[in-house]
Amino acid sequence: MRDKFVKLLTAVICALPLFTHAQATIDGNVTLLPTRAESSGESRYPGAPTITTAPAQLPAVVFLEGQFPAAATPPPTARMVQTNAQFVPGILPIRTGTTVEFPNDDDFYHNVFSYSKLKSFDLGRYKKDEKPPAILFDKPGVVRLNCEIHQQMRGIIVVLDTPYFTTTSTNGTFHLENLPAGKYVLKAWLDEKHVCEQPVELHDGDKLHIDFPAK
Amino acid sequence: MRAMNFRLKLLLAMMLVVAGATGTALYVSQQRVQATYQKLFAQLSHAKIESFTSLQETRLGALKDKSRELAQSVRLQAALHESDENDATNLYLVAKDELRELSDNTIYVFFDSQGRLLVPTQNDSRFNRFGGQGQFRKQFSFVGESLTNNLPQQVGMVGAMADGRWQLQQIIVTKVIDPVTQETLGALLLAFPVPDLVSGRNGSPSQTNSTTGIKFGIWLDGRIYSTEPIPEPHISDLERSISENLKQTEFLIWPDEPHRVFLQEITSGSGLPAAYQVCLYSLADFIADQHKLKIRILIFGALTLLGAFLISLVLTHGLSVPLRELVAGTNEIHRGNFAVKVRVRSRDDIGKLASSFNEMAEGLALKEKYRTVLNLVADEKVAKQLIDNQAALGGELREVSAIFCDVRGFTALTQNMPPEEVIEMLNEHMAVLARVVKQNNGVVDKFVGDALMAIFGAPISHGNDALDAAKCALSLVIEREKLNQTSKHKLRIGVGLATGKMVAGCMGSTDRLNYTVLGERVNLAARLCSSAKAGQVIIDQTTRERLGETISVAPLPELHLKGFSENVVAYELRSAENIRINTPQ
Repeated sequence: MRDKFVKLLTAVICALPLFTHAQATIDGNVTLLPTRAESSGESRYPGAPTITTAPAQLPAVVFLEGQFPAAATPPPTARMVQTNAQFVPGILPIRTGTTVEFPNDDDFYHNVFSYSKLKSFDLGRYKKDEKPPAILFDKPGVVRLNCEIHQQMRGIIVVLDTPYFTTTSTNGTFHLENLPAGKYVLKAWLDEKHVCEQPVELHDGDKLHIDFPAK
Repeated sequence: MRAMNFRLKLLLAMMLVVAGATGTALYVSQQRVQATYQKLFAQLSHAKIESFTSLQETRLGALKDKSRELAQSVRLQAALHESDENDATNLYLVAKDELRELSDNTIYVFFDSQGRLLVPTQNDSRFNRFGGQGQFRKQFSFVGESLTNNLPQQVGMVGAMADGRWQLQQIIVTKVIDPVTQETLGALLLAFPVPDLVSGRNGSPSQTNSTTGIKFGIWLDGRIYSTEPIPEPHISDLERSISENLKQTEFLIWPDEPHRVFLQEITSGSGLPAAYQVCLYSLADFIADQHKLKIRILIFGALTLLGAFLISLVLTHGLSVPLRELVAGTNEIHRGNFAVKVRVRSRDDIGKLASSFNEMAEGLALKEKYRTVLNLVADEKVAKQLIDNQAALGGELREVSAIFCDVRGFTALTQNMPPEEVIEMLNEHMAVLARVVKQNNGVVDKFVGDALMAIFGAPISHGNDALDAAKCALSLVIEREKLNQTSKHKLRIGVGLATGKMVAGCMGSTDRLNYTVLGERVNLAARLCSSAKAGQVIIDQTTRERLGETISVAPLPELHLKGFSENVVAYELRSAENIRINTPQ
């Protein structure tokens, strides 16, 4: 009982600034990269289901870069689901230290792997009902995901050293709220070669609108 | 220049024909042999090239498929995407797993999307066969450019120098393309040495005979890689010649040791050096065969020439003998021997010619006989004119001198004489008189019993016909007197000569003609002859006037002659020019 009290008090203290200050928000629009031609979606292995669904337009990740205190508790576990032979979401921004689960929601096998320098792993094959493997991403960076069985499956995990991030809608709009006052750099990450950024100075109650034309 | 005889001409013609036929056979056979060899060479060359191409396709096919498969590998694409010049270890690890069934001599290398070489480790041994990593980068700098073209895969060859030895490397450059974004991630290069082909320059110099036979190789970047080594300096000549003749499909090389070179370009990817398949054929066998054939044809030609010569000799002998006989016969004809005959030896053209010759000779003999008879029955000049068809039926008025000469006391003399003796006597008499007439350009018109009529100035004039007649008249007397000295019959003649216009020509019918003269002067001559004493020549006034001082005459009392109404002035002819007679007693 005492422990519960202590935890509740800590949570209240931590949340106090949120209630004591009017947080800033940023809205805006990111011009997304044009969608490239799609593959046939053929499976690499004979007999495997042929997937014809094209991947959706990848949104951009918009995040506020700055000096933020480390999270007191590990961020909640995120999920990168394989469904209908696609990674959902196609791009997953997480905070450093987040563990990501890779559940298979399809009725067939997937084999998720990544050769990214940030995190190289191979999850092997597993079924829908099996316990999904989970990977802890403890360094910032970009991790590209592939499925060995389905060539068209592409997933991206953007590991960020900030708690303030979001993904744009498929038409590029984004909304960031509860942003602390201070000087930051607002970045829009489209891919490794296309990162837009703009310095921002936030004050309590600010409502900024920032657009990012693609470079 | 002496004309060649028939035999020589025929021999020459035969020899020319045989020589021409031999030459033509030689030319045609040489052309045929050349065409056959050329066709054979071309077929062998194409077969060799096809065989190599097929073998290469077989070798390459699996690797090309493997390259394409690997380029589509999700793992490899992911690894390539994550690799850079500084760290490609994971990429090569993935590739090693995927390409584990490749043979040991096949190497694989990756390039990134900018064409930069991705090296597994700094001291990787796979670049040794290209002379090290630096040389490799230099040699394959074209890969970066090739990533911008639309070719998903390029196949070609490069020459590589390693350990002092040139070797031909077959390479396959396959683009790695992200199937989702269609982004070029980089390229995979597979390289393996082309088996059985080495740089010919490495051949042992002692293999001096190694340029004979058929050779196959690849020409690349000015260097030959062949199945057998080709020693210097042939290899350098060949490499230079190919460089100069790349646009041709075949050409000849080495005049001293001729070879035919066939070239076929191997389709290479862009940026890769052009390679040519080379077939090298020695023409030694072809030249030897051609030489043998030439010798055989020449021997055959010589034998044919000899045979033709002998046949020509036999043939020309068979022709020349009858021809010589014909020539001899012709000469006999030319000399007037129409009785000549040539032997008919065959039924061929020469035989027919001989028969025709004999018939011609018979015809000529018959004509000559007719002519002789004609000359006997008519004066020679008249006969000639008749033969020449110049003495037409009818006559012409011309000045003629006519002589009549008869024997004094002929009737009394021959009264008791046998007819044969009379004929003999007359023939002897007339032969002398006729000769004299002929000698003096006269024509014996006719013999009438013991009388002779001769004319001068018809049918042709000899200029001074009256003088000829005068000299003839005197000569008749002189010659008769001479004959009297030897003949058993002593005859005395009287001569009458008259000159004037007379009608001369052939008179009679178409069946029978006489050439004669008619006119009052003819009668006068006959009457003067009758009036002449033995050994006397009487001429008329006209003759006297025509001859003037060329003659000497003695006037006679005017004569009253039968058939003439008036007395006729007449002269006794004593001399004409240098012919003189004595005054008759």
